[in-house]
Amino acid sequence: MNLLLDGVVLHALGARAMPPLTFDLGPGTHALCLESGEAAAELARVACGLARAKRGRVLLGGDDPLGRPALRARIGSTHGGDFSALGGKPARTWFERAHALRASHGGTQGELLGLLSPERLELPWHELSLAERRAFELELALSLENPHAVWLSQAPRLAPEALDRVLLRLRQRAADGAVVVVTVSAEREAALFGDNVHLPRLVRRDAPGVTVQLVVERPREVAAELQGDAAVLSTQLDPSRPTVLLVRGTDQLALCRACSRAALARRCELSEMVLLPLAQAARRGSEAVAGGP
Amino acid sequence: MKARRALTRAVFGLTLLTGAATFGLSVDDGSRQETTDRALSVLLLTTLPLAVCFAVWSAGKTEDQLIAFGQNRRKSSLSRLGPLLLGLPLSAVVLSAAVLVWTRGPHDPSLAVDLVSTAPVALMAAAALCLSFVAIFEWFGSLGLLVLLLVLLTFGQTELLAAAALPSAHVRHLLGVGATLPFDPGWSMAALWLYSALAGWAWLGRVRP
Repeated sequence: MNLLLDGVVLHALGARAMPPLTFDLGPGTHALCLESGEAAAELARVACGLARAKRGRVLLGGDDPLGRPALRARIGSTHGGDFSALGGKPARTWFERAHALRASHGGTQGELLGLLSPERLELPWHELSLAERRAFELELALSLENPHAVWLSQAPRLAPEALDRVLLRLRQRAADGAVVVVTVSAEREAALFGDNVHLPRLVRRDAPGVTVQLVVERPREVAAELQGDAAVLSTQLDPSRPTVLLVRGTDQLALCRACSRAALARRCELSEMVLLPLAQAARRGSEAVAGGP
Repeated sequence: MKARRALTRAVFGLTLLTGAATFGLSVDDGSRQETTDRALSVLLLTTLPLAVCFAVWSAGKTEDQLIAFGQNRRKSSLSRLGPLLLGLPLSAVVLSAAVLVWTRGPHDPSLAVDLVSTAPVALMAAAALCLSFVAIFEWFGSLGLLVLLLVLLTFGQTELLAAAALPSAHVRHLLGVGATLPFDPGWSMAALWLYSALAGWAWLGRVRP
């Protein structure tokens, strides 16, 4: 099932400078780079049929989710929602209500990821911290077992272990045929969350000589399987000390994506990933450098 | 929750404004009939639109999160705004009765007849206003609410025949206040029903399931 955004224009202030958004997203993971958080939340609401766009249309499998409750029930989304409507009832009540509604449209409730402890779920939503509210919304979105689409308006910022669980769940959903979209504000996040990266603004993706600086806190073996015109890095590192790697290539997004995957796959703790201009990178000392073309 | 809170605040404000206006009118020199008519006019033509506008503004902005899980948006909208659509007309009926009792005195022989004849006017005036504001909000947002309020408080208060395009002129005609319209008051009551039906249709027609 494809998710088509056709010439979508948003109301948000931060979206005014953006061109109309047109994406045809198939099953798989997609990272959408948006700089404005306000625009990202509104885009999530528009894409999931919760709000009207200023212009343009959204079609999920050929139907507009705005007028189809059954389609909306099969989309897991985070959009910075206000879940205070239940007053003093525990936050977990939302899971029961969501499950009942989704079940009436053929959706099934899967296991929770455990991003929030059961004790915290017993508290009313308005007593949760901001980070817990985000985790709560993420749980609601990812607990749908057979979604047509998953749309996260903000890349989750979680502890590495929890983030791994979220990434695994997102990939499972994508493998099951769902369109998984994560809106990110930085290209290094894009590489982590999406196999396909979409940039609404025109970005020079083929700028030659881009360098990615990786700061690896607990390095083991790092092997970046870069494709095409990007550099190849495969090296044994000293696990007792943090290491700075400079990886050079031509396609910055491909570099970021491959480095993130390599670090994740080997459970290296990647604390920083920065795109540097060549001149700046040359001035910095590095432990290991893999040269590109 | 927010709709009930908005209703409570709107009714509180409506009661205060009506009480103040009725007190002000009752200490002025004038016949009882004139005082009653003017107090009812202030209630139904000025303070009621203000209260309805405030209530719809407050309650209309809330977003039901269950819509994201497959809740029908029309059902959600009805349950969210239902308290306003029931509460404000009932409050208008109760307040108009209170105004009649206050200005006429409880021993007035024609009080019972006036209570019975005023109640449906207050009910339908409030229903038409509520549904109009809700429909306008759904179509044009907050700005539409303000424009409708201004139109009701300015053009709607004039005694021009063209003002019959708004519910206010028909409410005045039914109360027997100001210039009479060139048709039977029964038609004005029918017009209020028509406004309510059209506004309800426009509202639910705009809300996608």
